[in-house]
Amino acid sequence: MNTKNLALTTYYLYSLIITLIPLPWWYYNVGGIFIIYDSPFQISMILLGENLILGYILNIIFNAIRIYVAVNLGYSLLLLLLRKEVTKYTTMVWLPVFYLIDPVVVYLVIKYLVPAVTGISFNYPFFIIGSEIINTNYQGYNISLLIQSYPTILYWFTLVCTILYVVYLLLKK
Amino acid sequence: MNLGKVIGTIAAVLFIILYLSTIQHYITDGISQLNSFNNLSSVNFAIVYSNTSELVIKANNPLQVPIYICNVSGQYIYLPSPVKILPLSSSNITLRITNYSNLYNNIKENKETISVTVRVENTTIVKVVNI
Repeated sequence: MNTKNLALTTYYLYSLIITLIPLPWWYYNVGGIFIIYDSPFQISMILLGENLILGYILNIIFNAIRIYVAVNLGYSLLLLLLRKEVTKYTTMVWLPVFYLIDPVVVYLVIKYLVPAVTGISFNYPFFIIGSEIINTNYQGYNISLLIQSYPTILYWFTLVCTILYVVYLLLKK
Repeated sequence: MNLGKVIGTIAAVLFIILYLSTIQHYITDGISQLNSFNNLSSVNFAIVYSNTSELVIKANNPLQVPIYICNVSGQYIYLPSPVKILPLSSSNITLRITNYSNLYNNIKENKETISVTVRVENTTIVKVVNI
């Protein structure tokens, strides 16, 4: 096996392991009232200290996605190892990167969409990782919330998938 | 579309079908759980006891997390120290009255404004009420 195929094999094997790890990638906390632990393959939502049961239904769909991605990675890995053909399955390349785009979407929604729809405006600061306090005024109530958004340790390992694929592309050149 | 995508789709669909029977049960439970959050407004207060120097209020906490009453302050009434109300329980809050007759007159003239600060987890809510 040449180096570029070795890089691709490593990418598939590593991605397969990452996909099968049943742990969240990201942690999002809105004032301690609403907490989300998620990855593209699972989600858990806690509202006021209670696990949301509706999250279990979402989890069935998320886990189905996990199975789909895992089967594809396994199939591509098998074809490579049997030296039949080189297939490219790049889902695990962009999924970790997508998580960095996610807070941008949240920011745009809270900053522009929520005030337009509900009339409640937030001084929502733009940030991807970290914690910030936001203040708002709702029906005479002054509310201040501590927003936290952090990747889990596993998230940093998922970025290796992207790096491995980039290495493969560089070797291919 | 290669064979991997076909097998993957079949496996994913089979997985969903396997759990389909539980979904109905999750939906009913999930909706009743969401409805239980509507009762949040039932954080209610009732006057237990009062005399010229203090006012005792009973507050209940219907949440799974503690509620902190951080501050209550008006012109003639205040909370001497913060109170923690444990999850799913109620607790008595003792407010000190500094000047009963002035307070009474203010309330009668609808002039007494009280600022209440409540904290739940990392969220602080401040409300100014006029009584």
